[in-house]
Amino acid sequence: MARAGIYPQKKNLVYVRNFTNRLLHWTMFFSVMVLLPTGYYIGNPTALFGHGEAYNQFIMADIRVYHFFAAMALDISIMLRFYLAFFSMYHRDWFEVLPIPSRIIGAIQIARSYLTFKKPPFYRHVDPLDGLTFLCLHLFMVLQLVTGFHLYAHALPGNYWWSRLIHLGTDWVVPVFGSDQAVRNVHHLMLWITIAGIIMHVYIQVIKTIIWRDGHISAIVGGYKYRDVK
Amino acid sequence: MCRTRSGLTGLEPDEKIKTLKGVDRREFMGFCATIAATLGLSPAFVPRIAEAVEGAAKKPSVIWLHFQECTGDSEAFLCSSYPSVEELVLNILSVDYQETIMAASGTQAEDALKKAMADNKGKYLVIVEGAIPMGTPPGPGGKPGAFCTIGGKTAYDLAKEVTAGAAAVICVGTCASFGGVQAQRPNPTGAVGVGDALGIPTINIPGCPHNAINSVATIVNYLLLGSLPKTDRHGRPLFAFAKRIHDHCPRRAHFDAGQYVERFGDDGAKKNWCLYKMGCKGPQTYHNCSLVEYNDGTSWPIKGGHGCVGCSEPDFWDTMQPFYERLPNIHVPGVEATADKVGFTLVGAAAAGAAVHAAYTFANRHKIGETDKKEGE
Ligand code: SF4
Repeated sequence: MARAGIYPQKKNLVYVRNFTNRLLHWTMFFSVMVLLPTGYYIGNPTALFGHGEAYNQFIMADIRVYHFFAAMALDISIMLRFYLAFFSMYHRDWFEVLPIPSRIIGAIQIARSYLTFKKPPFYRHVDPLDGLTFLCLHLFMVLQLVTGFHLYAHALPGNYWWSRLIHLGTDWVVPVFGSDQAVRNVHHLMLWITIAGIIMHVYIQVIKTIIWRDGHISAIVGGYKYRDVK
Repeated sequence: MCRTRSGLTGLEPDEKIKTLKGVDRREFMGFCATIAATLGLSPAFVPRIAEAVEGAAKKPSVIWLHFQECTGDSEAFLCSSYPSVEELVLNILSVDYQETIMAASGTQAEDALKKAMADNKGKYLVIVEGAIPMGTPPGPGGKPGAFCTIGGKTAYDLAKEVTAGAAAVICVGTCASFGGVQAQRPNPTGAVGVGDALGIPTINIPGCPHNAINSVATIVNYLLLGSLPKTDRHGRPLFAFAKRIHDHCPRRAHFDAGQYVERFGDDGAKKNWCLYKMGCKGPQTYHNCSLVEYNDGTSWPIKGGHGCVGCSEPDFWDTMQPFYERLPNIHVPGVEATADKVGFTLVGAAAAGAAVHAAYTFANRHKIGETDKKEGE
């Protein structure tokens, strides 16, 4: 490769993420960045705002709308991502996140490599540990989607087809978690799980980039990562 | 409503037409207008409601059963003051059996019940107040359902017998609808709502107590159209339970503006700000309190400065707790904390894990170089 950089000669550039893939990742990123603070405010509105006359401001209402818009963006990206995992023309990766035994062994191997600094085999797309983490995170996001839509549907009039559709798709969460109140609690707890997940995800990508010098972070921006030349 | 507008109707006070015993025409029309509004009908229906109520050829027979309850719903129904709902009700209905207000007792009362059932088979309305216990009392001789026994019959047997020949079963109050306070965990008597106990469809008018205007409107709906109102998935009439408290709350502007009562008695409370942070369950409670209010439009909890506790929702004693907090605690064996505390711990653990690993990596940074070198060879 002609590109000179901090890893001359020893590495090849490998194209791993196409444009759609990166676009979806960053849509999810920005929508989550909106969802976390707005969601926290909705659950526990601080007294910082909201003095003066009510007709002058629309703080909670605005924040709720931002939350809903960001949630729609996230939901659509998640659904597209699931669709592409099965039907992408570029790379169908649903199989890579399945927790089959060989992947679990691979994940343990990679977890070990974080402590021993022994480099695991090259995985072009997603390594087993990341795969399992992504599976969990995406399932959490689906749970967040379903519980969020259920809470959202409270406000919809009952006699339109779309609110019927939302009720049809999400009413099962009430018996599963026990009550609307519990559904709300789960939705709120997921806020913290998401933050913890983001901390771990970002840290792992940073550490991989530093330890293995594979350009994991570059891959999600430019689409390329490095592969050692044997 | 009507009294203050009496000038508009053009009637002089002495022109009062007595239609029903003790109720003048103006009050009566006011009542009909209130019912029309509650049912969501246009004012054009007011004369038709008046006709239906006055002209009910034979007053429908009503059998009112009391089970596990506090008689609060009878109180709500019968002690309303304006526009003389109880007078109207007792005039348009033939209440043949109501343990609290009937003069008869003992055998006479039971005979009245039997007679009402036999005379109006398939046509009488059953109004039930109170939950039905399905559990078996401990100790010798305890038989299923014996926690509530009237005239030697368990609530379950009595309800089964009486509802068998009924045109409709109307459950008033949260107890009859969903079990109520005695069905709260651990539910020692095994109390359940009437519909669940008997496995029959019922019209549920929950609330603690229910709002008399809703039960009266249901009955008027029956007189007017000969059918019961449409209901939601919990059997609650849509005219009263299709919208949340929150949707018509007078404090909603403060909710949208982000103005919340932080403590009872604080500045926000004095300014009637939103009670969301005081645990108001208005956003998840379907009821028309904010529109019709209680005690003939006198007041209701949120007007009085207290958050909604969600009394018209199934199992509200369990599911709406804590009443004064926005979110419940997390109950996992060994853990009793708020979602925020659990969340902080999780995020803290993730951050600490990352920090420890970062320090470990930094301490072993020479190893990383070695690995790289080896690979490069
Ligand atoms: S007081 Fe309760 S019902 Fe009213 S706006 Fe606030 S949260 Fe909603």
